[in-house]
Amino acid sequence: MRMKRIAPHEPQAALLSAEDIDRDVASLSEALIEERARRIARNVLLRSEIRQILENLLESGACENEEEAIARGLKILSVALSPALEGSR
Amino acid sequence: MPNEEADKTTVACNTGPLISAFQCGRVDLLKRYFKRLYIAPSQVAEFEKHGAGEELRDLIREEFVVLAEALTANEKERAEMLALRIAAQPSSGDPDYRGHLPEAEAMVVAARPELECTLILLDELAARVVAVEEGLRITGFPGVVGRAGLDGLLTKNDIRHLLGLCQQQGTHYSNQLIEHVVEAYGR
Repeated sequence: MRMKRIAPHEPQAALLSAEDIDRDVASLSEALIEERARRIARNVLLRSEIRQILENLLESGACENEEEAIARGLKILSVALSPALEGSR
Repeated sequence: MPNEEADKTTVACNTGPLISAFQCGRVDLLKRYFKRLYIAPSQVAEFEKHGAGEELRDLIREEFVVLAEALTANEKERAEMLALRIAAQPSSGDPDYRGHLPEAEAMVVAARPELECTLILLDELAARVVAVEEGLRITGFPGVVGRAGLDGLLTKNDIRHLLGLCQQQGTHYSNQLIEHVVEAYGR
C-alpha cells in the first residue's frame, strides 16, 4: 500500500535531544501509572465489603488511613503466601 | 494480569505529534495509550495545510480526536501571551508570535481542568520550554514510540523504520535521536 505523504510540522524547529525523549517516556509512564492507580482505587472502593473493612480498621486505630490499611494488607498477604509463591517459581 | 486496555489517559495534542503518527501510519500507537486527544480549534487549519485534513476528520468522527470548545476572550489573551513567550525562545525558528498561536492554544486547552488532560503532546522545543514553565507535563511522538518499545510492541528495526519515515518526510528528528530511541527502547 502506498502511504500518503504528509508535510512536516515546523521542519526548521530545533531538535529534541536524547534527554528530552527519556523525560518524555518517563512522563508518559508516570501518567499511565496514575491512571492505573485511579482505576484500581475506584474498583476496590466501589466494593461495599471493602469499604466496611477499611472503616473498621480505621475505627480500631490499627491504621492511620485507607492507603496505609491497603498497603499493609497487601504486604501481609504477600508474606502469608510467600511459601506458595516461592514454590510456584 | 493488569487490565492494560483500561489504562489509557486523556491528553491535549499539538499538531506535530499527530502529523508524525500520520506520516508513519501509526496512529494506533497513540490509541494504545490515550483515550482521547483534545486539539485547539486553530489547529484544524494547520492539519489542512499539511495535507492531513482528511485523516484528522476521520479521527474526529471516531471521537478519538476531540475539537475543544472555542477559546474564551480571556483564554485567547492567555494564548497570545504564551505565543509571545514561545516566539522569544532562542530555539524558536519563528520570531512572529502568530506562528505559535496553535501550540499556545493547545497549552490553554491542556490546562482546562474540566478536560482532565494529564499530558500535552508537543514536539517543538521552544513551545516545550514554555509548557514546562507553565507546569504542564509533556511527552511527544518519539516518547510514545519509546514507551511502545518498552512494552514490547516495537522492535529496534520497527522504531528505526517508523521514525525514519517521519524524517524522510521532513520531520526534524536527527539520526542521533532516532538511534537513541532505537537503542534505549527497542526490543
